[in-house]
Amino acid sequence: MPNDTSKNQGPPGLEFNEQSYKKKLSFALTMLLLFCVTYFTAAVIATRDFKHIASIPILGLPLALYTGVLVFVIGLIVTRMCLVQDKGGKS
Amino acid sequence: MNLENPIAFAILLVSLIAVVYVSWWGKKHTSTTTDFYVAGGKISPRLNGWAMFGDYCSAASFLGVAGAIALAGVDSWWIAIGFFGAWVFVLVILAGPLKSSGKFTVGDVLVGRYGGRSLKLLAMFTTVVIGTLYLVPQIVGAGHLFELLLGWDYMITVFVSATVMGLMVVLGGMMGTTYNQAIQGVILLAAMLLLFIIATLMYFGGNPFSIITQAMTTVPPTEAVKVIAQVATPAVTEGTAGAFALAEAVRAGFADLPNALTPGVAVPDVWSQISLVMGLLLGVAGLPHILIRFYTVKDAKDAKKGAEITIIGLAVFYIAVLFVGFATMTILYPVLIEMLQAGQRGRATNMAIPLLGMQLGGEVVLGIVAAGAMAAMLSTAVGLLISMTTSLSHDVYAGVLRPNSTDRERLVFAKLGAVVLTVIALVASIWLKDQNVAILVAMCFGIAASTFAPVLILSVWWSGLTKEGVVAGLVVGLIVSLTFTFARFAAVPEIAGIRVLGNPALYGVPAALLSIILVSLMTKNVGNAREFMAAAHRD
Repeated sequence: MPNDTSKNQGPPGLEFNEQSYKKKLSFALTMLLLFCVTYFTAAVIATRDFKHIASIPILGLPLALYTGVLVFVIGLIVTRMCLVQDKGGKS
Repeated sequence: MNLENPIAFAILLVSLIAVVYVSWWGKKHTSTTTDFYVAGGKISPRLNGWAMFGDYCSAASFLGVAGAIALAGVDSWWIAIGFFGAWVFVLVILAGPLKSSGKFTVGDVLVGRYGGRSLKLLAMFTTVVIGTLYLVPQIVGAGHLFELLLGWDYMITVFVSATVMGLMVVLGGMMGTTYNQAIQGVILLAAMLLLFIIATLMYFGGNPFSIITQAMTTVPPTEAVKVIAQVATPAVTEGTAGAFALAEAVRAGFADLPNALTPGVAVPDVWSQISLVMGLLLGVAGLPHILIRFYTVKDAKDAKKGAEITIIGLAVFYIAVLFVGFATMTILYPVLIEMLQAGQRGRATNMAIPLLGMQLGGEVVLGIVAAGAMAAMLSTAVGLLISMTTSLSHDVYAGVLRPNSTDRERLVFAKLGAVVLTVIALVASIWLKDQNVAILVAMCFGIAASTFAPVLILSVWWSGLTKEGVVAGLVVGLIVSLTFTFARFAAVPEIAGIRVLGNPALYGVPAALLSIILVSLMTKNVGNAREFMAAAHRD
């Protein structure tokens, strides 16, 4: 039986590639920023303090409904971009 | 035992037997601890994606959100948006590095970098605290739901629910649990879409946008109940058109009242809202029963592929929830107002979806909805039990108490752990019978967001993070989040001049982050940072 209490280090000879790490970090932060700006903006305008913004009608529906849907749309776009990035094998 | 709804009960029973059978089948594929903990890492991304969907969607998602929208309108949709956003956050920042740097538990990630028993014990303790607290509302929810649906006594329903949950884990381990969670995920989604389609066809002429149009003219029941005494109740009319008569009478009398799409009616002030959405966004990144699912697949890419399937499923599910919530509001308008008038807001929230099922398709649809609700609670509860028993067996028994134990001994310890934790949660569920389930769940999200989430994120992304910083972050996050959570339970308005909000995340997350960063800057033990980073971010 394998000893499952051993430290989980990388395979022998696995080198830390700082350049690749920085690219991955930069990509992750960009995606996160894109999503969080949408998410928190939509959340804040839906509060009582900013409901005059959320109530602005667009094609007969309030802005809050569009921003809520936009969170799902941006979330799905970010998800796909992450998977596409992975398919290349590199970041 | 109440058998007034025998067809619904039969559907529920069949689904329950199927669940136990799948667990029993899973036993044949569980011979080692690796099989029990993470199904040998052999789960396909697609199966794992559906299992994560089933694992994540609890009673709060299936019954709570749609019920809350039916009562208060579009503002209640924010809980669903937060539940969805959390997965995007996990995918972007944590899924890949977590899979690459761990083996069975989140404790592995920390020990992989720093070694030592103290971190494993601290991680196990935090896992069991979060897991047990999260398990209690699942059992309480199951008890109340079936008490209401079938007329069973609460003591019987919680006992049956907890027994089935424990049995599923003891019988099947992660393999059986994975198949059960995936099947339950499909049932959950199918049940919600079925309600959406039938409601649209029966009441809205087959046009889903008519649901939105109708909602725009409807005063939410939580607002309507304040003026209902001044409304002349319309004569009961037959057919689907009659369902909207009361809503139209309320609107005719009070043109200036908000409609179901008016924002800012039910959401709190801006700081409470930020605290809530922050807790929801970060909470999943700290929930052990979700994170353990990333270890059931082969590599980081498969972990991300599974997360994508979950995210797409959640997007479809939570958008359907909005439509079903609005449809429920308009179809069951008189019933919901009657419940609110009787002071039964909690019951109205939890029972709105089963009542809609009964209204749309009688006992058959009620049975499907009940099966969906049971699937939601069982899959979440079993995921919690697996993550806790894995942490107990792997981190404590094999890692600290008996490092030279055999595979069989660890497996027996894990199963005994499942029984003990089920009993503890069952006792707590009887004790906490009257607690608000949503508050208990929100508390777990807030605690997870303030403990594991910041520690794990910085562990895999910051080479300057020290062991002392990790300990400080976990301890401070746990203390601050628990303090503000219990202050809310005790209805304490403020602590040392700081206002107590609905969710502790606004204070817990910054406190944990600040502790981690400050202590790390003052100490030097960064562990095997380069080797760990190489493993976590391998291509």
